[in-house]
Amino acid sequence: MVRMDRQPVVLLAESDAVIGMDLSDALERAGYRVLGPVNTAAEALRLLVQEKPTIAVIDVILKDGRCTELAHTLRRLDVPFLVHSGSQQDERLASEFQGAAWLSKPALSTDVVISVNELAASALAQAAAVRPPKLDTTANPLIRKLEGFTTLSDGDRVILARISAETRLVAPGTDLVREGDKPEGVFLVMAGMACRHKLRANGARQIMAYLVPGDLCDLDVVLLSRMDHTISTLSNCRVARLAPETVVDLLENHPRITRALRKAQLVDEATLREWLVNVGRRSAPERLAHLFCELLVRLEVVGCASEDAYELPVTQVDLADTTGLTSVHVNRTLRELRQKGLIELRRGRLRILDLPRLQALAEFRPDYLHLGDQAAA
Amino acid sequence: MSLRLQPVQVATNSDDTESQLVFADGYLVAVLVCLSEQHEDEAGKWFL
Repeated sequence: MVRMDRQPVVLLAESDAVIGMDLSDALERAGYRVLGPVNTAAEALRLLVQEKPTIAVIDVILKDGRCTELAHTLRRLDVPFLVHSGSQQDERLASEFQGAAWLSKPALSTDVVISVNELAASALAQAAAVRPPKLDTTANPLIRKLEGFTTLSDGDRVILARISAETRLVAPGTDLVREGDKPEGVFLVMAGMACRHKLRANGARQIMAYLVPGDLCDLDVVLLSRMDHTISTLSNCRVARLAPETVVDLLENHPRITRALRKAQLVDEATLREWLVNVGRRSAPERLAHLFCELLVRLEVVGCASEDAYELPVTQVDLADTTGLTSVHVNRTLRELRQKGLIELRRGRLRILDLPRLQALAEFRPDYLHLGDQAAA
Repeated sequence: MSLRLQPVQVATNSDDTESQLVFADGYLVAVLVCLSEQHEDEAGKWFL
């Protein structure tokens, strides 16, 4: 297994989603961590701001046009890239692609991996000095979350750090697993926000849970033959997938971790009950207020919120599908909460201006999150 | 079926007020509210 701190990272920009997934799988099997796949240059540039990959695999034309700027940026950042494209070979003469490795599309994924291996080997040899920082267990959201439920040993922390280390970056709106799929492991969200949802044939969607950093989806899901709902990313996420045998090992050999995970499962169910009350029996302002209060507590535990603010990378449509409202109603309600001096939601960041009043409005009591009552664990 | 519209002001607790009552054969069947600028891209559309 390739260790996280040695794992080379590949940025994959591919206009065709199917080819993108296929290449992404092949690269991951080959031990790479894949940024993407993304299908626009804009998205690729955004990922580049967050993390510099070891190498990139790009197409000449992406969904938002020719990726001249992307190629120039990669050159400027000194990221070697491979062009995998169905465009005419004379594109190779264009200045931005000159001298780049080139494979005509569709190439066998094994050929792409071989070319990437060659590029990565020379890139890593050149940049041998640069390494990401060592894993810091106190910043690990999974460890932080489980420590809220029970006391862990140093050994437990090492194990949790190890199983959560091999993450991949997933773009917003990506299905991690779909309803009807056979579950093949347990997803762990380490950064960003994902959700569980069900989609009706008419396109209506109900979101049943938000998954925030440290959240593990369905500990025992491998006991089921098919997923009964879909799990998708809402924002850019960093996600690890735990193999079924990893989960079995945790459950059989690590009693403190198991106890904490079982408690987390109970809290998930308790949260679902609160959400059911939300859509069934609370008014629109109360629904949103309750959600915002809950997220503050959950994100604070894992170090993703200050005392009154956090990133809320969801759209008003996401909020509508979460609270069973229309997006128009959400828009009006957010405005109402803002006018009452309760919240401020700007550019994906929520600031709670008056927490006691927001909690009172929602009748929010954090008991159901069972934080800090370790004695019961 | 004949539709008749009747302009009306609706208190939506927002800037959306300009509205139309929709009558079908004399029965009230819908209230359409015109979305104000606060809805940005959706402004000017009718909300049922």
